[in-house]
Amino acid sequence: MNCADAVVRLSAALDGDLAADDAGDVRRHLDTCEACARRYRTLQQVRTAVRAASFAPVDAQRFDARVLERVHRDGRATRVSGPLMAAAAALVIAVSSAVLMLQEHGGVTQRSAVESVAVPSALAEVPGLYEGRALLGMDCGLATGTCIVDAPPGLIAGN
Amino acid sequence: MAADDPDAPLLRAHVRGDPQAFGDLLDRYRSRILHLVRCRVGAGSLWVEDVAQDVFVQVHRKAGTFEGRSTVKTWLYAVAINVCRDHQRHQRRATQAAPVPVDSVEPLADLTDTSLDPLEQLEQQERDRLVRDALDRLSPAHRTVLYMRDHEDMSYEQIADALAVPVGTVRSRLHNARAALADALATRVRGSQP
Repeated sequence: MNCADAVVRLSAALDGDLAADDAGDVRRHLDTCEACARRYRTLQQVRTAVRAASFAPVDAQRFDARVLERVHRDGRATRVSGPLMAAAAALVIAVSSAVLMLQEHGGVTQRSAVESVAVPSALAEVPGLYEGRALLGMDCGLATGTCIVDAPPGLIAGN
Repeated sequence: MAADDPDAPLLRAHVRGDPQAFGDLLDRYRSRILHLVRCRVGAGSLWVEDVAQDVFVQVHRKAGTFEGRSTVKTWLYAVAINVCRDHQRHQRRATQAAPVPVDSVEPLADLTDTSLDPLEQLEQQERDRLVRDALDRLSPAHRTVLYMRDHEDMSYEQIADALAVPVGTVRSRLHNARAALADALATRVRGSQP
């Protein structure tokens, strides 16, 4: 084995990553070549230095607190979004069913069904608001207020 | 899966909802992940701790997807490497810098004929500083592979899995990283001598 062949194998030899034959050849070369033996010792020292090196310490408590806070926030967002959406959907269905029932009983006109919920005057004047949309007074989970919900055509018009 | 993986029960317990398990994972891997992130994004980066936190948030999110085809440690390091890559991608986009190909197969560099004997005479503290300084001068890819192999004692296969590169790339990269570190250390040792 010549120096060029040995040098490209030194790092792998250091890690015990060479096949037995190769490792034997490298060892024999190092026994006879002082320059390559010195290179090998250098690599050994580099590895020892990296192994022994201590890195900058971290404030574990602060780090963990931040991670756990983020994980908690992440988990809460995931958990809350599903039920919140389900509750909102259930509320929309319940209110829509109530509107339909009122209409079927004939005691409430199309206009009065819509007017039975409190409509802020500013919103009531929005053109087309009653065409396919219902104003629902509901608690959205984020803030109690008036929500505009897209309703199927005919639900409000009574078709 | 490695049946004797000491971290696997911990990850499974976390997935089952054991609140203590995630804390234990943090305890075991906090420093290691921080060092790995430092290697990857550079010790001088302002974002080391943030990126390391991102890693654990991702571990929390993805714990259920762990299939046990590697050890938890290798899987965790792969998550960390991906988070670091995302971070570096964002940074590059922000700075409009040219991309640095970190995962290509590299030709083998020449090992310089350098003796580090003077290192043996230095105190541990000084040695640590020199090693850290020298590591800082290497490329992120070289720092990472040196850290994984020489500090974390990971096998070539584990490193290849974590970095998603062939084993041959790990071998050549380690060779080049050690050569570069030997150069950097020799330069710094010579510079620190009176």
